[in-house]
Amino acid sequence: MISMTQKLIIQKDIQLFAKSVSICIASGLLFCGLFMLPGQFFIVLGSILIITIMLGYYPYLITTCVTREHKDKNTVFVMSLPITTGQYLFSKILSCAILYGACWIILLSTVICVFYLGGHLPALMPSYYVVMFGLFIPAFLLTLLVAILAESEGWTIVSFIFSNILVTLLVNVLPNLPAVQQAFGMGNLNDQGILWPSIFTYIALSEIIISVMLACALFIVVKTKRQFINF
Amino acid sequence: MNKDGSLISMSGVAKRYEHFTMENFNLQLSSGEVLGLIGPNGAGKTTCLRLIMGFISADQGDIEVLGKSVKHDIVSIKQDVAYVAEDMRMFGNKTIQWHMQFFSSLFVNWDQPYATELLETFQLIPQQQVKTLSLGQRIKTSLLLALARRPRILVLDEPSTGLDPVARHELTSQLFQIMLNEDHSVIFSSQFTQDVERLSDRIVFIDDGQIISNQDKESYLDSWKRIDVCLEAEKDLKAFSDIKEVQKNALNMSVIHSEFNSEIQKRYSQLGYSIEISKLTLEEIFIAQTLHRRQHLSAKGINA
Amino acid sequence: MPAKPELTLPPFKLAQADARPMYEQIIDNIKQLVILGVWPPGMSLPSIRELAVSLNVSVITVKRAYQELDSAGIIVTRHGKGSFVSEQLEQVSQAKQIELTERLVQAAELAVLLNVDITTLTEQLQQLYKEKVNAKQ
Repeated sequence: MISMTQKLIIQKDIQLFAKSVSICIASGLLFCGLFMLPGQFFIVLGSILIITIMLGYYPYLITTCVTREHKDKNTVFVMSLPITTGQYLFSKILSCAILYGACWIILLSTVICVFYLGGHLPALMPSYYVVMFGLFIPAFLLTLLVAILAESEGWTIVSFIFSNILVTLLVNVLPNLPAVQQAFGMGNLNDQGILWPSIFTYIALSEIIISVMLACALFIVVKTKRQFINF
Repeated sequence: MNKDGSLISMSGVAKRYEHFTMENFNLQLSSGEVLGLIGPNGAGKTTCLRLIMGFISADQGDIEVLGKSVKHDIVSIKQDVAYVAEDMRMFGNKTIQWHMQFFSSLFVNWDQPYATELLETFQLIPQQQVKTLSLGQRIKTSLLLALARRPRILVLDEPSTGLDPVARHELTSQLFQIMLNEDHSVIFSSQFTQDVERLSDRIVFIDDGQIISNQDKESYLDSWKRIDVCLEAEKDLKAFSDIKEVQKNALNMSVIHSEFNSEIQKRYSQLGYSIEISKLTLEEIFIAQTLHRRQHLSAKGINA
Repeated sequence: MPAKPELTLPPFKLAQADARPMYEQIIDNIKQLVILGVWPPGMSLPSIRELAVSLNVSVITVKRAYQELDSAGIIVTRHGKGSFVSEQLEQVSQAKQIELTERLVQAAELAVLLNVDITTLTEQLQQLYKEKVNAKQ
């Protein structure tokens, strides 16, 4: 159940980020257009740009939406409203999840649609993107967890640098895995339809498990945190 | 209302930080009462008020507000208790108008005509963004939001810090208006002893996380007196246990008593001294009380 | 929420800087009003809260003043009904008598200070008294 105060706080956050999230989505959609152009160069370029958006937006979102309110001394004001510390944190998590979730879903589904339209691309692309986008979720959740636990911009920055490096590494390792390389060579979408190599099941599963663990950690923090460190 | 009839009741409350401890803290706020908290910086006034609001949780003891436990029922408590602090920030990129709308959808008692009246009294422009407000305007906006909620209890932590004398006067007048309703109470801390002296029904003096005195204002002010007496009286001053300060000058000396009464007056005349009695302002009492405590503590070897 | 009190109060002389405590100043003001008959016997006094808000002093201050006025017999407080100027006239006239004595003492002190001899002082008083009696008729 969401209380009125929570609803209004989430509403305010979404209004606040409406512009930035729209810019992200709009530029993401624009970059998707690159996949329509012939040649591998544009696939790589489009991917890099979309990955940059996804990896660049959540740190901005979390620092501005979560830690900035501590820094700006908004917390005393917010806590004077009919809300508990846990409810407030929950609203913050929801705001971030809705905003980042919107980016995630819209961009991923557009990318997949584009792949279908341009059937000349490798048959692995759609599932490859699903697995790659899957990496952003634990990175986002980890940064959110640190931001809420530490209540400091500094620690949040440290955690997203860490998660960004990790994601970038994995994004680079992924296409070089022998199983993935092999699947890439198995023809285009027009001929093959979507390919889902068994290694993706393992990767997706680990992404889900890590995400669920982080979500549980967030849940525990929300349930147990009784007061802020920084007022 | 709490079982004992009070609106706020703190009993046996403890809160421990690395450099500050509050132990066995007991405080009651009655219905219709204006309670002024005074004490030096770091005495625990803010801690006390934040415990009441549930911003921080007590390590020990019980806090009840409007008959509900702060630990378990803080959301419904905060529906009827408003809070304003000098260092509190609203949402910077939202306007005053937005904040008023926000509050009107949150609080059932929101009084829009009163809010509009306050906008005028405080000379605020509703379309202005909060981040562009001056310190004084920001505090006035917080006060407007708190007052127009028509809360049962108003909790104010140093509300007049940063306000010019005119704005302080406006704030005081608004607080007097609240007093008309005997169901509404105010608890506030302030460095401005004149404001506390003027507004409070009860004055609570805190130092080092402890309540040093807790009395109705008139009795408190009455019990502190400055006695002007000849220099020869010095040898007899040990007859009194409540002396907080002795100041000598060329002709006579002035002695500050904290529990002055007719007995003490009689005692002086029995000793053969003619005395002149004068009252102390809260400011003078505050200084005498604090300095005396510091000296007392350092004399006992405890670092104050 | 009650509206602002529409109290029409005679002017009170109150000063934070005064040597006397605030409640004593209020007592003195009310005594004056009663002695001068501005507040006649039996008149209902403003409620403690109303008077406090109008004078911008705290409730406890007015409460204390009313308590002391009550024990001095100047006002009578009936539980649940409020306070009234005492109808026991001797209390009031006694207070008036005290007030008169106090003012005469002040006049005498001033006369001594200004070296005005007793005959001149008496003559002056007689003159003033006659004027007032005539003015009343």
